[in-house]
Amino acid sequence: MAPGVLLISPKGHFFAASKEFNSFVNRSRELRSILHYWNGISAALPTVAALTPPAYDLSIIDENLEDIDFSWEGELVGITAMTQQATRAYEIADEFRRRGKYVVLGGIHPTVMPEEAANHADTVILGEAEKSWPRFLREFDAGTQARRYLPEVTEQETMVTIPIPRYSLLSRYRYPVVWIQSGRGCPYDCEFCAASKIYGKTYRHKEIDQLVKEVNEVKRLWKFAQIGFADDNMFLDKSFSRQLLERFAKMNFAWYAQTDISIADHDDLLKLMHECGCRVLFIGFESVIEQNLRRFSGNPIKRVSINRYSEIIDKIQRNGIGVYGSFIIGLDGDDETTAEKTLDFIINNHLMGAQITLLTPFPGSRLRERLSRENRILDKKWSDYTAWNPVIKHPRLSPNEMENALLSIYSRMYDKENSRNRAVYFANICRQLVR
Amino acid sequence: MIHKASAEWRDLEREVKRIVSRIARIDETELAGDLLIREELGIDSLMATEILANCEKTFDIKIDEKMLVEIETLNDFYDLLASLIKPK
Repeated sequence: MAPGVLLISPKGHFFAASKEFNSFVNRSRELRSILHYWNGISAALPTVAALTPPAYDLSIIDENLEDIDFSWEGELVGITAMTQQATRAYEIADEFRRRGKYVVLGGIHPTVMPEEAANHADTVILGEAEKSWPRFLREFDAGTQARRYLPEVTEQETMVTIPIPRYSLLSRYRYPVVWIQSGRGCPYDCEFCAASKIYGKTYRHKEIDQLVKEVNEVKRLWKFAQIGFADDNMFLDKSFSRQLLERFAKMNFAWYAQTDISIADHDDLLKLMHECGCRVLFIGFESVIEQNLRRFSGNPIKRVSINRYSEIIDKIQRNGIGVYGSFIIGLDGDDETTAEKTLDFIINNHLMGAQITLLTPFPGSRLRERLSRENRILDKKWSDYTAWNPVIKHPRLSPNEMENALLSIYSRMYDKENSRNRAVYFANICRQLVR
Repeated sequence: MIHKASAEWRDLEREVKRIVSRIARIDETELAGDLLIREELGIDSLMATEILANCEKTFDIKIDEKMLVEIETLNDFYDLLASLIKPK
């Protein structure tokens, strides 16, 4: 008889650990709203569930929304972890192993820190699960399973054989956003990001029919949820994007996506995106200081475009799509004036929203290697790696100054005057669009 | 001010639901008046602004965008529109 399988997404932290920041979040409707939207679930565990043969008695727990019952009577526990979830993932793994369960760890953090994860798991699965999870299950049944499964999916492989994730196993939770992964891989290989290392530099994607089925399934299960496309950089393949959007235009759903500034050079795509329900694009501008962008990657797209940032934002937003800009504080070129310059940029360009985070040396990134060499990593507690806590030594800014920079940007960006000005700006755009 | 029991009110509700449904991409039948616009219907600030602009055009009125922050439910929005539309 096939064993019971329990897949777990451990409780994760968001925002900063400091009392001042949490007190600010509690007072800020906008930041509470950001937190609300980031509470969406990723497609990772529903995808693993879909890769599991139907004979298994399988369930998924999102620990952010439901406590784990450690007296669960199945045999096999699979736990996924991003870095900020790792400490909790290990606690859960240790407890289930103490109770005699077989524990498998997978996901981004165990992929980049396999030795560490192996201290808490019977098996660690590295990389994408599409081949290794079914192989592990077959070998587990035969009693020949390995301690470690190396990545078997290469960046040359397409995603067309990935089954529709079993979102129905999570439909008891009321998510405001459900994240769908349409593609993997990013060519930019930014120093602070491990995505290019984990997924490769070539953008691979699912087929249009696959994505249509996924969207329909999510909308069937969560009629009021927004759909977020979780790709680190969607729309890299402009020809495929056009075909996908033309298909989306025949459907009826509102969605968000993450992409890069190059989308602004394609007016036709922007119009099509708005028509087919795209409401917000998350774009990583990273910094308004040119010197900071030089170090980022082999691809100079951000550095050479910094003088066009305003034009790019205006172009996208005039199409009725809000730009949610992402900026990092704590880059080497930053000083005590950076917070003010970033805030001015956000306000002057009427950004619909912004995510300001502190430079965080995530394991697996080139940034971590460099800052380790330079002996600049101050905090190694994974639960602090939310990207909102100061965990590095900066040449000019103290940890306190970096944290205060975040608070000062957020508090002024969302104060009454700026919120009102932003509302007027977007109302005028929408009025022009309906004329 | 349009009165709640009037045929105009029912027309107003029908038209607003049609606009909200088209922009938020939610079936009209799901748009109960007491649902919270942001938390339950998932309508974000940009969608709300787009709904505002469409209602302005449809009903030939001007809505102060600052008033959107006060709106919690569709019923609140009907009340706001009803206070701005001149009865026929």
